[in-house]
Amino acid sequence: MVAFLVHLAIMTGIFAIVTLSLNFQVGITGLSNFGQAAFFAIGAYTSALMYMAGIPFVFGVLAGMVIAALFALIIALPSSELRADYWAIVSIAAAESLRLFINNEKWLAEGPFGLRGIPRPLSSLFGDNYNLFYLVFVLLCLVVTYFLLERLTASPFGRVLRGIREAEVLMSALGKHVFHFKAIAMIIGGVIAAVAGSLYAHYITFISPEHFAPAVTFLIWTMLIVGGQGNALGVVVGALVITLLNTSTRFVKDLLFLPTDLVAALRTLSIGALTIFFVVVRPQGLFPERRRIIPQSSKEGANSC
Amino acid sequence: MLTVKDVDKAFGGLQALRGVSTEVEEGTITGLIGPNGSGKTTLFNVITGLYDKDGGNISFRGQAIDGFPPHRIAQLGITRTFQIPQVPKRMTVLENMLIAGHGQIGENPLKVFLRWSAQRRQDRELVERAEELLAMVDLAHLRDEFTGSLAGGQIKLLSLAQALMTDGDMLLLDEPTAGVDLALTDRMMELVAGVHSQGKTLLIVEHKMQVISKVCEYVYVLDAGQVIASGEPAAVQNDPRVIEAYLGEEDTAGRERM
Repeated sequence: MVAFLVHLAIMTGIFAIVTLSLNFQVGITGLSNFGQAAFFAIGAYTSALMYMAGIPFVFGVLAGMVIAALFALIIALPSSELRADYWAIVSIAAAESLRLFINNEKWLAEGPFGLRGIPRPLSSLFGDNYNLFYLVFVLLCLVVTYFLLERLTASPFGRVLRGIREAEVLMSALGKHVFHFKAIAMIIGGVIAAVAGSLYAHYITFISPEHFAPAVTFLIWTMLIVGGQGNALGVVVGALVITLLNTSTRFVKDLLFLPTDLVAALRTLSIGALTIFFVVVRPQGLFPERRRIIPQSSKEGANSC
Repeated sequence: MLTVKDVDKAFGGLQALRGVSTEVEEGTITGLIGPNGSGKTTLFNVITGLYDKDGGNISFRGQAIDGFPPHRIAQLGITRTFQIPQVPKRMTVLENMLIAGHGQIGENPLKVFLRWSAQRRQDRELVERAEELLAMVDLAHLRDEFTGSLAGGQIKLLSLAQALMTDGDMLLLDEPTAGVDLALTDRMMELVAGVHSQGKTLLIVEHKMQVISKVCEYVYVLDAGQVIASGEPAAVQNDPRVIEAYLGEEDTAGRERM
């Protein structure tokens, strides 16, 4: 049971990081990115391949971040020409192109067979307690991501992003280079998703193109919708709820003696139903975006400093 | 200060602007009037770079701004408001003011984590200025509310204050009194006059003649994409072509059927 809880917490942590990154693009900047699985894949594959080639873990993660940044920039390019919904199609097409590329290029990462036995960094040091160590590491990454993105969202930079989300034309009339901001938001989100991908690959130790199918992007979107777009804390809760639903169905199977395919189908069905429920009944999610109160400039403000 | 020369703009077969030339002198309030669909907003969109024009030249302080993207034109000091205000609703009123500040250090995401003290100082100055302007437009009490909870007239007032936050020397106001009740119309005109007395140059789109004649020093009249008259409000008001364009407005439906 403890082992399962640790597993659940690690998966929640990893997915919370990706969902936070998606929230930065979708919930804060208003960029309907449907290709987040691609950034997850870039991080996972890059750091797995580099670590397997004997390059230190940190450099593999950094390389994944750099490639993700470039990929984000490429996807962002048509964002100023296209309406939001058409750009969403571009993002999913770009992600699928990348996945099919990995699937078809056997020399790169074994194509559809995927990478097996991805080594875990520092595994000799922690032995049987490895997952516990990994949990701490993932949670640390989550906390850093959370505060980094929250700080950015509250900053003048984040204000411009939130302005673009609802009033792009106004923002350009106020002197903001909208494309420039959208591209940076895509890059920041992409880079963070890549880090989450690295964490995922070295934990699961087996990755294949299947792991990065559009369904994964939709799962992350569900976490975002259920949690509450534009609310970082809500997004983490959303990741927890969906991961719990996604991983604990195996107990239902054992409890009720149901066949495996039925449980898998029920799992997909329940997540789908939950998404529809939230979109229709509570589109703002469990935790709606909150007002950001800025302290008074007058004497009271000066005293509190 | 702002010179528009022979500007043309067509949408498909519709000639929205036809050889329009206007000149806005520094420190004046210039009105742009004309019936619905005469091209006033189109001219604004062309000046601010939202639309590409088909011909003509526009210069601001002697510098050609043809082909400049909207954000560059805004950075030069031309700020516009919209007929239907486009304020972000899920941001507070104060945040709506702060987004308008030009040259903020913290708009660079890397500098958000560096240069703490310079940023804090700049932010405090911006907040102070925003609070002053909000007080001026009687919205100080709504400072921390989501803009989405404001009434239509309040959003109009916020838009004006937001435009002032940019520190642009020239303001283009697109129907600041449209959809606003009589009391607020007077208040709005009072504010506009106040803004002018602080040294801003204004170009205002309106189609209420009475409103324009109260505050404007010079007026251009557009009809069907052409400047049909210009001059001081009193003179323009009595111009037969203007009277026809305006009185004709009621007859337009009839004329179009012919």
